[in-house]
Amino acid sequence: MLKELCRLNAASGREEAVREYLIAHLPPDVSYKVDALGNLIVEKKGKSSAKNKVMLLSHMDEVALIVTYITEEGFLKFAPVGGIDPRVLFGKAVSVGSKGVTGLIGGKAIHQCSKAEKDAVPEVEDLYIDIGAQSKEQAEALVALGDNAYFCGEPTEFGDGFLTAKALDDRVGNALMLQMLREELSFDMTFCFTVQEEIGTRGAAAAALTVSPDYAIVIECTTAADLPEVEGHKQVCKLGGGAVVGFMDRGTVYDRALYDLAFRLAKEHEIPCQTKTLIAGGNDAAAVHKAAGGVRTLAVSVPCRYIHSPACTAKQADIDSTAKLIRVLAETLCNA
Amino acid sequence: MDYQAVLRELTAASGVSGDEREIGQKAARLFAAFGEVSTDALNNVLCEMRGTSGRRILLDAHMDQIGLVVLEITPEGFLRAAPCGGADKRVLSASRVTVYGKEPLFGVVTSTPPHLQKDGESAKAPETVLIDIGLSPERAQTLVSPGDRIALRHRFSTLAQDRVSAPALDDRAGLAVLLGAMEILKAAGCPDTVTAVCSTREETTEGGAKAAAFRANADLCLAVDVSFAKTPDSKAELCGVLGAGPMIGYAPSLTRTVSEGLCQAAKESGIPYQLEIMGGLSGTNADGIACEAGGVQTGLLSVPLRYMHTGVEEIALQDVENTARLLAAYILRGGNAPC
Repeated sequence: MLKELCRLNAASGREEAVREYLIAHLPPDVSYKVDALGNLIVEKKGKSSAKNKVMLLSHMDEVALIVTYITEEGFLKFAPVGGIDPRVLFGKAVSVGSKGVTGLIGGKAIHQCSKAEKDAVPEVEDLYIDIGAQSKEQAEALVALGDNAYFCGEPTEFGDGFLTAKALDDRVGNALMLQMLREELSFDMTFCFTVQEEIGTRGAAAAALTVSPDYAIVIECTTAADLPEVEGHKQVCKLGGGAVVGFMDRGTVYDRALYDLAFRLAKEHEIPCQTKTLIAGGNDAAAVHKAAGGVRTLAVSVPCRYIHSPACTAKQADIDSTAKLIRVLAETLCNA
Repeated sequence: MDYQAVLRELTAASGVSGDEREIGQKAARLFAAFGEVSTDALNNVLCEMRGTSGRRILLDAHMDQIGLVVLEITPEGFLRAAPCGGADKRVLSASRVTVYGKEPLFGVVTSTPPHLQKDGESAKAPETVLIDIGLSPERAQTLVSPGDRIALRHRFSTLAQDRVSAPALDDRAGLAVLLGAMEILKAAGCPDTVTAVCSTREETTEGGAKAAAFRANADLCLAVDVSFAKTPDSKAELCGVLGAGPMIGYAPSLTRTVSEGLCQAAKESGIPYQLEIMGGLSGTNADGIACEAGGVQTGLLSVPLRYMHTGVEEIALQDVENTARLLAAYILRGGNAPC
């Protein structure tokens, strides 16, 4: 299911493909609605009603590109949708528009570069997509302005239990929530699949007000930099270290009691769990904790290398740990 | 010849410079239809189609590709690698690769996460190349050794018009041209003895073609490689045009009468062509071949290609076919008639 979700294309504002997939795979015993922004809000009954309203959320959108201009020679100019490092675009293939036209992002050959150019990847604004068209007319027959382009990043398992794919951020959150929805729950819960996270956690702000929960748990994919040459705390978190629960990032100061609860539950249930050693990143919690008069919020994430690239890389063992932790945390909060 | 199918097959076989085993086997199988296939000390694959005229012609295209070579296995189990041939380090971040260890292993080139980038750093290509193979240090040590080659994973795409993209079209496009030319020459009953060499190590030392040219002792040699096709950010005077036909090389290191003869053959046969004028060496196997065996008359045809030495090299199929046609037409018209 995770691999199928990663294969779908859903830039911010264009989340239909993921939303439709999720709706098609919902079990019959839930009710759902799609709000004006495109958030998918699913209510699931548990064995008993919950004392507290608990909302789980993950975002459906992924970082992508949007075609802004077609040159006379038939090349496509684009803007990034979400934060993308030009290094993961340069020299890569992308899939453009609803027809899935293959496009190439490249530049003049290394042989023709000056010494300075040889080490420097062009800025995003200097890049273009080549779909093989020889003129604007030929390009327009295949691509329209406003079409999105996506990384080509077929999900692939490798090594000792690793998975690489585009859009693991945050299809892994979608998959974990869908998995929970398809299981029997002890308490009623609300599951929000949000839009527009990558351009500023916009969908979550709207959904949080609609649901107005007592507690929110954000299921995410977070940056791991456990690489050679990255010193201690800058590694942030590690693959194989379990679910990631941070105390603070660039968007949120997390509820301290919830943070402590998560680690206590992890210990009790022997679920591998780690914190973040750097104040970095942000997610839907940034919007949710400030919404609806304030919501006590925690984020539980799968550690992920090379995030926002065609090769986001996670470890199955961490995905499993995250699944266990969000379940026990959500049920505990329902009954707290 | 179905050039798209042939290119798909040729680019799927790996052959990072100095380790051309897989592409060598593939080439030997494909060329066997046209003559007697043999290999030599540098693992060149040769195909000889015998004729009766006494004239001996050598056709060259290199079968190696750029890639990486493993330097060490880090204590964490990652691989540190260096370019093998002129790999473009700017394009490697977050690329998928195959490591040719004791068994082929899937890997991902690491990329610096955005939160660790200092201002302006995002524009810089990484200094060293690290490969994540998802294995413990112990397993990595067992399966991978320094010197193992790494190639960008194969991905063959068809684009608009007749454009296709894949890694290693430099110079598998040249191999496809040689296959196409041999097919035409065989069908036409070419009177000359024509040997096609799929040469090794062009991207590193140009050693394969030199060795083959020495042994061949040919009267005429024609090298087929790829050359730069114009992109929006490159200079027109340094590039050919994609889809505008074979680029006929003119350079001090090449034999001028051969270059002129190629132009004449193109005109006579109605094959579109463009000129590639270079001030010194051509930067291809042709330069080395010309000085072998006491000196050989040598010409160069290039297939225009965009994004050279990346995983998304792009060519036009029509250019491949026209290059094969021109190569065959030039040989079939006999000696070096002046323009």
